[in-house]
Amino acid sequence: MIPQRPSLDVCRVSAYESRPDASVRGRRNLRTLIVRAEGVVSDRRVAGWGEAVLREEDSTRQRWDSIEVALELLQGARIPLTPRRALGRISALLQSIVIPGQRESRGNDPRVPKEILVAFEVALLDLVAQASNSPVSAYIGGNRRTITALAYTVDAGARHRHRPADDPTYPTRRVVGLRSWDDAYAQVLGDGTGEHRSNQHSAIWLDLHGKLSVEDASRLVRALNEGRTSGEIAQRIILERPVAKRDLHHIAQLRPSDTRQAGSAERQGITIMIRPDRYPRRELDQLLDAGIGALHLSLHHLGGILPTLNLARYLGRKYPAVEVALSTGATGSAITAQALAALAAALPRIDHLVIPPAILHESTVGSPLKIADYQLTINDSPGLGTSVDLPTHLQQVRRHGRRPSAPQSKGSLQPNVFDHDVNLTKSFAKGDVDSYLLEQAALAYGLSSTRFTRHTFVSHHPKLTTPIGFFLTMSAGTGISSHAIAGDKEETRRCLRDAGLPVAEGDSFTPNEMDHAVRFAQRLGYPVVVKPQRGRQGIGVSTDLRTEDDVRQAFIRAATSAVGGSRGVIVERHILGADYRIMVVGGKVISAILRQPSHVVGDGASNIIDLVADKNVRRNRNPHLVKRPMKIGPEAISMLARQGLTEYSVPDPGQHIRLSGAGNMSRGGESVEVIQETHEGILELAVDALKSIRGLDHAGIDLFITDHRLPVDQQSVVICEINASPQITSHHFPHYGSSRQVSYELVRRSCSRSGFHVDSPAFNLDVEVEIFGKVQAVGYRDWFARIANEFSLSGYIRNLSSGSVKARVAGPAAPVAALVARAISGPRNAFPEYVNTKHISEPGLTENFEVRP
Amino acid sequence: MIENGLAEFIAEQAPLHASAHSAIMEWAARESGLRIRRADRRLIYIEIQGISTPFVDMNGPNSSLLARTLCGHIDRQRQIIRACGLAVPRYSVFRSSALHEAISYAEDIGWPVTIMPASLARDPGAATNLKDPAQLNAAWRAAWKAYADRDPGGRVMVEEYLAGEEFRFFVVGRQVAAVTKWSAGREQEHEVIEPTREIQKHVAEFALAAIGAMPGMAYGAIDLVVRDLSETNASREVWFKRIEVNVTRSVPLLLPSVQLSFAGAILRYYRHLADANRL
Repeated sequence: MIPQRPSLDVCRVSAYESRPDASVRGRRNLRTLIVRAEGVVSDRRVAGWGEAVLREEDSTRQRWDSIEVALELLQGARIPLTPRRALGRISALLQSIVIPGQRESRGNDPRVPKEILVAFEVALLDLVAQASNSPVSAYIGGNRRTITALAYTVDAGARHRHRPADDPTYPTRRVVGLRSWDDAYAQVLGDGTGEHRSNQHSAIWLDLHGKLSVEDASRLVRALNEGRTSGEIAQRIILERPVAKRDLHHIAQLRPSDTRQAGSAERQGITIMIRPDRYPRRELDQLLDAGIGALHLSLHHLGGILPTLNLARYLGRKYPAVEVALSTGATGSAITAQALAALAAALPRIDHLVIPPAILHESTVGSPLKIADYQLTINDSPGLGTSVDLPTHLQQVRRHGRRPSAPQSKGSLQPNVFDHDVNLTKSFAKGDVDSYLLEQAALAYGLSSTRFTRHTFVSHHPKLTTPIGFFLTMSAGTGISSHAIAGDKEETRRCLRDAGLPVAEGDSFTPNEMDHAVRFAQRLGYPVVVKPQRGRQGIGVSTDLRTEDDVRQAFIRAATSAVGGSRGVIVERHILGADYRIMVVGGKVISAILRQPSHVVGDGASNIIDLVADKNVRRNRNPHLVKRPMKIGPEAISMLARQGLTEYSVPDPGQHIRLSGAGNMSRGGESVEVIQETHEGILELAVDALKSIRGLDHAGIDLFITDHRLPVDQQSVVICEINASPQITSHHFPHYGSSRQVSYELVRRSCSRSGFHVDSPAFNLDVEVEIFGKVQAVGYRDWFARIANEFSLSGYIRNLSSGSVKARVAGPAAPVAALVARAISGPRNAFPEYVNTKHISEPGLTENFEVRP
Repeated sequence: MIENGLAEFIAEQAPLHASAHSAIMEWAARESGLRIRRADRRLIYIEIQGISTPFVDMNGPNSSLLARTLCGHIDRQRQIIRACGLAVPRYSVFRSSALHEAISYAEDIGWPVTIMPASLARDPGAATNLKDPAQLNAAWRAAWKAYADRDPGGRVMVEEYLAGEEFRFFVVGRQVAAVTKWSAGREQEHEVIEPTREIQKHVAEFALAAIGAMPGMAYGAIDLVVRDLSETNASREVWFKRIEVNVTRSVPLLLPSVQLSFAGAILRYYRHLADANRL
């Protein structure tokens, strides 16, 4: 019997596209793709990680299609574990990834970003290396244990100078962002501040990006040569891509002092460097033969570890004297950096290893490289030696794909999709959307507006006896004293109880009365709820507490909560039931939302992380939820543990897994609009609750109810909170159920209180917007016009001699109002003080939005 | 004697058990024979016609948080008042780095000028009757110093200086409850005056209109400048200066009679609402 060779079965592959990790600073137009591959070898499960950093424009549907194809192809693949066979199999698998409908392989198809392939390749290499209990570096044939030929990149064109701690004195200093030959020369001489004296480095590597003319490049080389002759410049100089590709045949002119000594590692003078991924193999050979002395291998541009290794081995054999520099070629986190280090350990020669700046810092993605005393120690644990804190990373996930994919569930309720509104509100902070919706309603009802801040505006109309206005969602009908009562849960309960309304039995305690609180909980009977007296958004709230120890821990959490705990802690009976938010405006219920606590429902194939990722992808299509992702934080981990699960457990089909005790959207809850089916008695109860606090014209009433369809007397109902400043976005954009235009009701009600009974709202607006403050000579008009065109609005914007800026904007009410609401923010250097918007109806508009002088 | 009793009561209650202004409301309620329940230092419930009515300091249910927010910035309140057609001095607000712009603006509107932090209480950092750039420069530093760390994004307001008599109207509902006056720049030296006799009708109407222009403001204190009280043409001679919903700042503790007048007027206002079934 022939013994079976060991192999690994890839059983699960997942891809998560997200905003970049916090360590990738200042690159907001990037997306991170994290790939996780799981495999089974001899009944042992292992997981490998890969990463790519995509440009925003790469994140198109078609790009995602290619990721889906890769997932499909790799899931179920069998990979032998013998290194040579494994590497061959991985290369073959990756080469077979093509975009659907395209015949060409990846090498010929420019629409498959190589970065995507790198992510999958690194994940598979990490996987097979772990399965073989070998570091990736050793698995691909590397035998270096340490690397000292380190290089660090600084951007000469960056607006903000790097801090000295960010610019370690590695042997090689690489400078990018150079604009001219004298700029480059100045970098070699040192910037004169004493912080980054170039003579601390043994080599200066100037990446000129092909920006110089042949004349300027020659001038630079001459100047550098003279500096070296005079002794002013002691370092070796590497000029990367000094001239454009088409001018490289002038290379001989550019290397007057390149005193190469074949076979010697000691080099002097000036060396020209190119990137081999930009040339076909034959042309590359010609250039190397013509005297190019160094090559810059870029992991991402060459398409991964294996293609880079193959090229380096070929060059090592044919051109052993050519210097080799290695970089990731893209901003990346620790996964990319570890892959780079593993590759560097395996290259035939390595003269400059560019350490990406981001990985010097702690990161939620992976663990940083081990660099001490300017020496990089190659990982010697199995695989890459790094992983992703996926539960934390999940909060940023925008797209998610996996194989095996989730089984299609039949008959389940589909969440609402508000892509258009997400687009309109994507630049707003959480609270800003409420204010935008209110201003939209005011403008649609024909009122003019003056916006002072992102949260505050006032509206006028000739028929109003008093202007109306909103601060957050609070109107002139939200009294100072009423707001104070609603902000204090104990005071609210007192008001409700005095009005004869049902409340949970409980009491409040000062933060140093924990023992009293515990005894009270015991008398009350478990389970109990512990919460800060003046908290909000569920912060510091613990529910379903069943032991003394639980109560003590919850008490400490509540008392030390960032919001409201210092004023006191409430202990009350835990009421079994669902969490509802009923919006009451002027004695009338406008919307009723069932707030389901954060949860997932098993499909028999997906683990909890994947199920949460799926939900976060759907939440991205809801303006209210897009910035409130589901999280697998300490609370979820604790809830899972209570259910005997971990985040990697695969629940049974239909199994309901709860991840939070509270229904707040900010804690991963989901909203279901249910007003149509809510029993009249419950709605009346909510109205009575509003009336129990004097001076509150509208509020969000929070109740615990067993079943909203049943009468009050047939079930358990308690009112637990009254929110004087309720967010309204979840009513406009419920996860499930019909949208309720609460902002229109609030504006209508405010107008009515001021003696103006509005007609039906307009669908289209034509407004004149004047922005006051520092808004000229700061790029304000271009900024405004860019958004207006993005929203397909017509009109124009121009400067006024008074120093303000005036715009005319026409189009559908929602985008016009979104633009008007954003006008108070402005571009980076603008300081708008207030924005006046009034209706106008004059001819003379063109189709587009234009900037006028 | 009542005023002496109030002073003793405030000394007894504040600051440990009640804020000074909440204590004034409590005293006024007791004097009127109303039942009260104190929830904390600032929140009390006064039973008016059988309705438990909450007050934070002196602010009852009809003083809105919106009005308080708007009134917290002088430039914003002026913008609202001006939109309602009332006369407002010329002004502009500036960031801390914009001293040269502020001087240039002062030259545009003409010296002398007044400057003040736009989002602080009335006294700290304000300087009036500045006649040249050097004086403005010195006052500018004092204004920013007044902000300290309280509002890093705050603004300083530069406005034209209006000489004339300054009045503070304490308005409750549609009634003037009390009026004080002082000479320009001598704000601490208030003098209580008789609202009906010494004030022209159009000046009082201006104050009432200013209250009516602020959304959700049942009562408050309005500062006006009157250039010539004998002048009958109100539109040219009465100017709005500022308005405060948080009347506690505007009731100088030196004038207990004004405090009691104001607190009493507030209670009468809510009693009237309760009688009309509007509370």
